[in-house]
Amino acid sequence: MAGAAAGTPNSGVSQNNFFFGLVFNKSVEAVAGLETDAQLMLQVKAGDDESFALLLGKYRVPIVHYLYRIVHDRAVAEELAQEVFLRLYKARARYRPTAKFTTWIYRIATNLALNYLRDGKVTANSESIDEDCEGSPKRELVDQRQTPEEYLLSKALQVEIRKAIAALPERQRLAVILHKYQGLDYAQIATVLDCSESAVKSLLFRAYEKLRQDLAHLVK
Amino acid sequence: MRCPLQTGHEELLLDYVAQRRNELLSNQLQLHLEQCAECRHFVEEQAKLWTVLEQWEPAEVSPEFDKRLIARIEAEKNKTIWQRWFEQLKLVLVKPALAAGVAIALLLGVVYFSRTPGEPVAGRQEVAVKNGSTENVDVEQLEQFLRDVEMLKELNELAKVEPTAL
Repeated sequence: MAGAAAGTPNSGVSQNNFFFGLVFNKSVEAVAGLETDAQLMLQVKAGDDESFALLLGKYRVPIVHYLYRIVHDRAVAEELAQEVFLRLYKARARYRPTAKFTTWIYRIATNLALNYLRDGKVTANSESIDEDCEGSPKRELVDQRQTPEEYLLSKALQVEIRKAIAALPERQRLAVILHKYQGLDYAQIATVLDCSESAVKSLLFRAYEKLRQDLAHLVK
Repeated sequence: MRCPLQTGHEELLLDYVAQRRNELLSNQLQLHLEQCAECRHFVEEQAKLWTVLEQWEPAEVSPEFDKRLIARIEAEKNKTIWQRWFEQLKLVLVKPALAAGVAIALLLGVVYFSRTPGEPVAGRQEVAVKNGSTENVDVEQLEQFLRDVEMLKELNELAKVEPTAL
C-alpha cells in the first residue's frame, strides 16, 4: 500500500494484493463518518477488506500513539500495534458487536502492552533522563523560531512528563493515558480496564493529584 | 449546584477542564466556580497540569507501517489450516503442558532419589558374573532362561536316545 496517508493515489499496483486498489478509492473522511466502526467490522466479517482498511486508517495513529505512551519505544509500539490489527483481522469471523469497537481495540492493545512489559523486556521506568528513548522521534528544529536552548528545554520537559506518568501505579497510568491522550470517556475506560466507572473516576482523581504534585515545578 | 469536591464528584471538574461536558452543565459549573474558592483552585491547578501534559508528543508512525502489516496479513492468509490449528493449540496447551512436564519431572526425581543408595530395584538383584563384577539382572528373566536351558538339555538327551523319534 503506497503511503500511509488516506486518500493517497494508488496506481500501478498488483491486483492480487487485497489491500491494493481498495481504501483509497473511497476517502476515509467520506466513508468513516457514515458508518460506525461496528458496522465496518461487520463488513470485514462478511469479507470486505476495504472496510478493514478504513478501520486501519482511522485507528492506526491513535493505537500506535497509545502503545508508545505505555512502552516508550516506537519500534515496539508499532510492532504491538501491528499485532493488534492482525488479531482484529484474524478474529473477524467471530466478531459480534456486543461492545463498542473502540473499547475492544483498546482492550486488545492494553493487554498486549501489559504482557510485553511484564515479560521483562522493557519497563516503563527504565529510561535514563540523559538518554533518548529508543525509537523516539528525532526531533528536528522544524520550527525555525525554536532556539537550541528551547529545544533542549522542550526535550527535558517531555522526559519529565514521561517519567511522572511512568511513576504512577499501572492502572492509574493507563487511566490517565486513556483519558487525557486517547480521549476515552469513563465508561469506555472502565471497559478497557475491566473495572467500574466509579473506580475509573477514583483512579483518575488520584493520578492527577499525584501528577500535580510531581510536576508542580513545571506548572507556571 | 452542589459542590463537586464536597459531594465526591470531582470528575465534573476534570471534565470541565477537559471541555468534555455539555454546555448546560458547564454553565452551572461556571456559576459555582465563581462562588467556590476551593473548586476554583482545583480547576486552575488541573488546567495548568492539562497544559503541561499536552506537551508530551508521541512518536510518529513510520511510513512502512501499513506495508509491514499487509505482509503479515498476507502471510497469515497463506498459512494452511493445520498451521493455524497448531498455533491455536500451542496457545491453549503450552502453559499447561509445561506445568505438567515440570510436575512429572519433579515426581520422578522424588521417586528416584527417595531410594536408599545400593537398594536394588524391585525385581532385580545383583548377580556375580565370571569376571568378578556384579551385574543387576532381572530375576524372573534369568529363571525363565534357566528353565529354557533345562528344556533344551532334555530335548537334546531325547534326541541322542531316540534319534529317529525326532
